[in-house]
Formats: sequence, C-alpha cells, structure tokens
Amino acid sequence: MSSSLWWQFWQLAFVIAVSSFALIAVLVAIRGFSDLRDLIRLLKREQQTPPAPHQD
Amino acid sequence: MNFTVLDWSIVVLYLGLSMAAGLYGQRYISGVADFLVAGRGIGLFLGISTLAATEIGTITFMYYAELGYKTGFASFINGLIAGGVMIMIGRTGFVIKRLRELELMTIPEYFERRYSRRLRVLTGVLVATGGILNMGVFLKIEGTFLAIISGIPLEHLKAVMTGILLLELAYTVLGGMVSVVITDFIQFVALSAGALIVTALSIHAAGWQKMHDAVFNTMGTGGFDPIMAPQYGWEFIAFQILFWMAINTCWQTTAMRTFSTRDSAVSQRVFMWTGFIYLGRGMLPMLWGIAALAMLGPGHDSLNAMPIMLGRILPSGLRGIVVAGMLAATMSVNSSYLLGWSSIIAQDIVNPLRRQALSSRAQVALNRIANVFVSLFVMFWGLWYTLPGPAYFYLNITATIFVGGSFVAIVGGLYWKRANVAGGYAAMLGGAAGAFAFFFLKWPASRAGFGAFALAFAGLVAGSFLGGRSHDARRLQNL
Repeated sequence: MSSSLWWQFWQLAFVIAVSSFALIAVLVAIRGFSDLRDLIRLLKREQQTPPAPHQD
Repeated sequence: MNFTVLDWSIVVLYLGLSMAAGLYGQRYISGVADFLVAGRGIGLFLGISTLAATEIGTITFMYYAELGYKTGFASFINGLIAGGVMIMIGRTGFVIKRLRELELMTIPEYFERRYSRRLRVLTGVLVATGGILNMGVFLKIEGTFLAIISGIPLEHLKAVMTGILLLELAYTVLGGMVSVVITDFIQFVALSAGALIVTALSIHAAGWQKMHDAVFNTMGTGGFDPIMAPQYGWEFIAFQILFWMAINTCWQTTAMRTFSTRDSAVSQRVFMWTGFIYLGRGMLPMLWGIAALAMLGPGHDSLNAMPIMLGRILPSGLRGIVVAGMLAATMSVNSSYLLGWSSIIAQDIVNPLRRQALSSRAQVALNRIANVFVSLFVMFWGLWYTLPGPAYFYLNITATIFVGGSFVAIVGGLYWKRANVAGGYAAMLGGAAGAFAFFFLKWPASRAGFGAFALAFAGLVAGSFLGGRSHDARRLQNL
C-alpha cells in the first residue's frame, strides 16, 4: 500500500475515531447520571438488608 | 507562569467538586464487595465512563503524543489495534463473559478457583510487581505535562503532584470503587471535553496539510505505513494484537470493571462501546504529537513536545478548562490504579497466606493500608527512575510481566480442559521471563513482548502435558 493510500486510510480512521469519541461522550454524559442513581439505590438497599449469618 | 486567575479558579473548582463527589461514596461501603467492585451494580453508561476514565490519563495522552511526534501517522496503528480488539472482545464476549459469570474480584482469584492457592499468590506477586512498576512512572510524566502547560517551576510541581496524589488517596481509601466510579463519571465528562478542545485547537493551529507535510518530510513513507516504519512492522503488530487481547481481558483495573457490571451482557456492551472510545484514546493524542511536530519541528524532547505546543496555542480560560480535564484524567487513572494494585496485595498475597481468612471489614482495612503503601512506592519510584526509551514501550513491557502469562493461563483455563497447575506455573513464569529480557538483555520491546507470550504459551502446553493429572476443572463449570 502506498503512502498516499495509507494517508487516505488514516484520515478516514481519524474521522471515525473522533466522531465516535464525541458521540459516546455526549451519550454517557446524558445517560450516565441515571445509572449512577440506580447504583446508589442498589447500595442503599444492600445496606438496609441484614447480612446472611454465614457472612462476616 | 502561563496560568491566569481565571485558569486557577476553574482548576480549584474542579478539584473541590471531584473531592466532594469522591468523599460522598464512602457512606455506601458496607463490605469488601462494595469496596472493590461497587456491589456489582454498574450499568452500561456508568460502565463506559468508568472503564474509559480509568484507562485514559494524562499519562496516556503523553505517551501516545510522543508516538505521534516520533512515528507520525503510522502510530495510528496502535489506536486502531487497541480499539478494534476491544470491540471484538465486546462483540464475542471472549474471556470477559466467563470471568464475569465467575463473580471474581481480582484476576489472581481466578487462579485459585481454576489452579491452586499457591499459584494465586505467585500470580498476585507478579501482577502487583508489573502493575506498580507500570504506575511508578505516572507521576513524573504527568507532573512534567502540568509544569510545562501551566508554567509552574518543576521544583514546585513535585509538591503539587504529591498534593494531587494525597487527594486521590483520600477518596480512594475511604470510598473504594464506589467513590472511584462516581468521580470517574465526572472525570470522564471533563477529560472528554478537554481532549476534544485540544484536538480542534491543534488542527486549527497546525493545519491538516502541514501535519501531512511535516510527517512526510521528517519520516518519508514510514511516517504513514506501519509495516515500513522502523519502530513497527509485522512483529510489532502481532505483539500489539496479543497485548491488547491480554490487556482488555486480564489487566486488573480493566477487569475490575468487568467484575463490577450488573451482568455479563452489560459487561460485553460496555466493552464494545468503549472500544470506539479507544480508537480516539489513541488517535487524538497521537494527532496532538503530530501537530507539535508540524509547529515545533523535529529535534525537541519527544515526550515534552506536545505540552510545549499546547502551552503556546491554548488561550487563557480555555487553558484552565483543559488543565482541569487533564487533572480529571490523571486522578481517574491514578485512583483506579491505586485501588487495583492494592487490592491484589491485600486479596491475593496477604489474605491467602493467612491461616484464617479475614473478615469482610478487616479486608477493607487491609485494602486501605495497601492503598497507602502503593502511593508511597509510586511517589518515590517516580522521583528516582529514568525511562530507558519511549514511555509507551516501558509501559507495555512492565504490563507484560504478568499479562502475557495470565492471559495464556486464563484462556487455557477457560477453554482447554487439559490445562493444569504445572502448566499455570510454567505460563506465569515464562511470561515474566520474556518481559524481563527487555530490562536485562536489552531486547527490543516488541521482541521481548512477543517472546513473553510465546514462552507463556509453550509453558502452559508443556507443563500441562508433563505435569500429570489436571486440577478439577468441573469446579468452574458448575458455577
């Protein structure tokens, strides 16, 4: 593969990389907060449940 | 000093927010499973943010920018392999699906389930050695970046970096994985904004065509073609594919995210989408390095060229936002790595060697003590050690001390019934021996790395055939 073909290839790869990075970052920023709320809810529920006898 | 009052205010505000969120997590720690794997309650988007934030740090930006500066667009092959392999693992569930189903907390724990307790301890020693040596150079490189970009004299920066390490340590010790996951979410958003701003500014300042010309004039065809580039070639590409398969499945800080997800299906989706982020994780900073080449020319210190370029192009205000983003990246990586490597010392070296297992509460305390120990080591190693070459190769090889052997032993353990304890030992020791050839025999990184995987594979096969009857693999299948 010649250097100009590699150059075309890397430009395309870079466009895919930067656009998917930006898109997923925005999605995570919007949707991650509800995941965080679910996690806190789960941990709170766990704290309120008494431990099974064989556990610490 | 490049920083204005506005820049400092942004950075201090960010640090305050991050600390408050981190300290908030400690109230939800009621046992070792919360401390190490956040109660296994992480969903898709939080999983992506914590995995990406853990593996994207200032250190990542620095070593990838160095590769861009030294090897041009051919360096993109590293980002392509890292992302492509992760997408493939997410799609197929290769290794991670079964590991998640086993409800582990650390990688060496698998070795006790599949092989033996002693092999777990040996693996723990190798994982802790490789991981802590790997993390040992972070502070120095991150410190250099922050010194150059903010204009702080280097002698003050050691104090600043120590302060940052203490902040990370405070919330990691208190809140473990819960705090790390909460801060990772904030840090991922901040670091993504910082990375995208820097990318846009670098392209604007250096010019797309000028970057092409700078690479072509400095490196010729080798600056574009990874097969022709003297630092790469087929041997390196083959090693990188193996290396990233191993890192994405067996690297403790990555594996802790696999173990922390709600179930194996979520963990596969987390890997697939984070794989796309990994393409940018590599290519974005490599482009900054190429922009530095176009703007500064060759002949600069390769590791420092990118921050020097950023120090010139970032306007006030934006500089504060970018540094806050980079601090976010630094803190998310360091806190996760602190937790990851100290969990190995506590769970896989100290705890299994005791006659009586520690209670869950005592395990949390032991993990906290290990956090402090790892922090102290990292601080002193960073000040003392000088890198033998490009940072990326050093980091690859310190990782290979254990990932070569553990990847082979885990794949063998999961997919080959014949794999046994002797094979497990031979794989771990063979993998470590190959990696040490880089330090003591001065082998090139790709040869030493490839040799580590080859020795580990040969060790597993030979040990399993010569080592007698297999350990009872049904224990795993029945889980």
